[in-house]
Amino acid sequence: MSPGGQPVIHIVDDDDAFRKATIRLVTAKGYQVAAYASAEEFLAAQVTGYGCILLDMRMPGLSGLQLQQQLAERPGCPPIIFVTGHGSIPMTVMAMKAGAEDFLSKTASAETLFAAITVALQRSAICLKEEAELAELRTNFAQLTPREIEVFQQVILGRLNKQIAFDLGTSERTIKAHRYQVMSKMGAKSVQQLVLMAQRIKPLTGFTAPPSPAPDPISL
Amino acid sequence: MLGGREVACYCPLVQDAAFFRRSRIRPSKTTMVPCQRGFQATGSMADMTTEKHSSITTSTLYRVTVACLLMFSLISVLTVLQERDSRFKSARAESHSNVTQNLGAISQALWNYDVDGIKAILTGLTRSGIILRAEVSDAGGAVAVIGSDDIPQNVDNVWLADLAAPNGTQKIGSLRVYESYDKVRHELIQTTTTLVVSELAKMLGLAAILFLLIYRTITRHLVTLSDQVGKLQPDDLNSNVALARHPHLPDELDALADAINLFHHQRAEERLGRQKAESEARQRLDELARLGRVAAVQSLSGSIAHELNQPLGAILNNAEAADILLANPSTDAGPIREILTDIRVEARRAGDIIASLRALIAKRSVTMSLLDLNRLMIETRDLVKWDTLMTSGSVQLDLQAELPRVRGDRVQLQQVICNLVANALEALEVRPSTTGLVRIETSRTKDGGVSVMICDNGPGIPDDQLPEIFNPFHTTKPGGTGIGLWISHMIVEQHGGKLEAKNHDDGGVCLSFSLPAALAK
Repeated sequence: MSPGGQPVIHIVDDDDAFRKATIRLVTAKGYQVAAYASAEEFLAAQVTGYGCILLDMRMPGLSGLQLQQQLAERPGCPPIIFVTGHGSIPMTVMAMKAGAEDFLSKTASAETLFAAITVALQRSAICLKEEAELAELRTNFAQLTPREIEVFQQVILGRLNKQIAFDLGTSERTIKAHRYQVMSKMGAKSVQQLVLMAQRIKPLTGFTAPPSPAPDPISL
Repeated sequence: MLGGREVACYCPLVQDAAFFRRSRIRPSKTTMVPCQRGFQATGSMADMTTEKHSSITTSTLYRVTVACLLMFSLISVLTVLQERDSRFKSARAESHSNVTQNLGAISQALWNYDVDGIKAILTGLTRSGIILRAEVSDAGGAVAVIGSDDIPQNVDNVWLADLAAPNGTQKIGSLRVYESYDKVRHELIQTTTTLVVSELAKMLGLAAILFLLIYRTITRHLVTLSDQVGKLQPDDLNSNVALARHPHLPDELDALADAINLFHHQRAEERLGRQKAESEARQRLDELARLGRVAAVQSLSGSIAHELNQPLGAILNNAEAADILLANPSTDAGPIREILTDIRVEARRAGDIIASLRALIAKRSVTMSLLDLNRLMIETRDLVKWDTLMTSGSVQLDLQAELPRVRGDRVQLQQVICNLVANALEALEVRPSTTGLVRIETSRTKDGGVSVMICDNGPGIPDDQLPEIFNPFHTTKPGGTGIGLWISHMIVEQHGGKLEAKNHDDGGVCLSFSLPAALAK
């Protein structure tokens, strides 16, 4: 599951003493650490990859929540664990709604912290894997010819070869060849897999995928 | 000016140098007793320099004596003048009658030409001392002369009497008499001297007796009274004035002492009552101010918890890291020692935060000191870390350099600053869409004081509510107590300043207070 390489724990905190202590703790546990004294510094570092962010809520300049908002627009960014001195309920709600992995107090025990880090790293790994898969799908999809895309669209709607051939004004045999090309280029072993792939690439390509599950019970 | 004493208090807030200049009271160094707690008179008696005063008895007697002497001298002189005429008259009459009585005998003796007889008679005439020279002469010249040989210089009167023959028809000679009243004059001078001296003695004796009498019955009691009035304790109901006198019926002096006692008693009672009321009011205000501080701290509690959790979190993480390191038997002592040092530093930091918070909330008495408002502002910012309270936006600190120092209570002024900043931050929360900006400015006022202005760009206060925001329990916030601004207002007023609020043109509210500069020592 681990997407190669060591996970990096990014610590963003303006308080020198707390940052130093956290670096020590996380390092002692065997993690790789990168530390930043402010949100701006972190943004400048353009961090991506396997890991997670321990983010302070209250900092002079850009606050933790503002940093979270900015990071949400970037792909491939590690999940965020908020570590704050004092979090009000509205603040917690805002952070969690915006997709924070966890919300901890600065006085939380190491056990709690590492549990949160473990979960966050798992998610980071999954996230990275999904991103890699998605990238692969996109590459595969890009190899399809316009005709093949048309056939793809019809196939995932559950249409029969002859229906497609009729619609596209060609022979059933040609459609069969196109369908084979689509399946092999996309690396799908069944029409069901193809449907799932179509759903995943939809937001990336503007590809009009059918609503799932496919309403038509008739399949190839 | 009898024992002029006055209660004076050197209080920096109410001190009025002109007062000392106007009044004739000259404060000595020991009278400049700074008021404790800044606002309240300590009631210490100030020893005013008393001017040396003369005695009323002496001066009165001196005047009476001089006046009497002049009067008696005048009367004596008038008496003597009057007596002088009558004495002269009687002396003249006497010598005249003497001469007249002896005219017959002299005529007889001249008729007999008995020169020795004439001389004997004339000698008898000159014996009185008034007739200096008498000479008898007939048609042939002087017959007999008695008295001074020459005609004396100091003759007052000369007169001539005819000497007739025994039958009384024929003038046989004449008698010339030279009279002088020097003797009378001499007697007069003697009389006058005796009179004046005796009057003087009489007057001096009388004055001495009067002096003793007045001193014993009046003056010494007045002196005692003035001493005792000077020693009266303004706060002591039991101190009073009392005269040491023999048993007697009450007179004006007793009435004066009673009046002084009554006055002092009333004044002391009033003063004690006022002090009590003042201290009660102060206590209530202190309580209220503390409540306000608690409220202010509560409203900033998020920031305080954040502040306190920083070092605590650091300690915790350090300890956990050490724990993990120690689990590995090959760990060096170096990093562990480093961790322990950091833990110690952070524990102390947490302690400092708690101590400064405690100082802010704790029950305490007001202590006035000279303060630099710029420094106080920075200290307050470091304590409360208000800029971390804002979810978006910033707090700008714009401090004018070299401000005059002000006299005030550190904690109370910190409380005012906290209240005003908390107020501004809360105003921004109402309008989270805009980027919040709180501007804090210190500057010098036109009259040499210091002004602090705290502005936000929140929604502002409706104009009709502006005058009410300093009223107690006036609040627009859900969950607000409405005492923060009220207490700030009172604290600023007690420091001799003024707290004002106004909406500014760009939206938002400016709260500003000014304090007078501390008087240079």
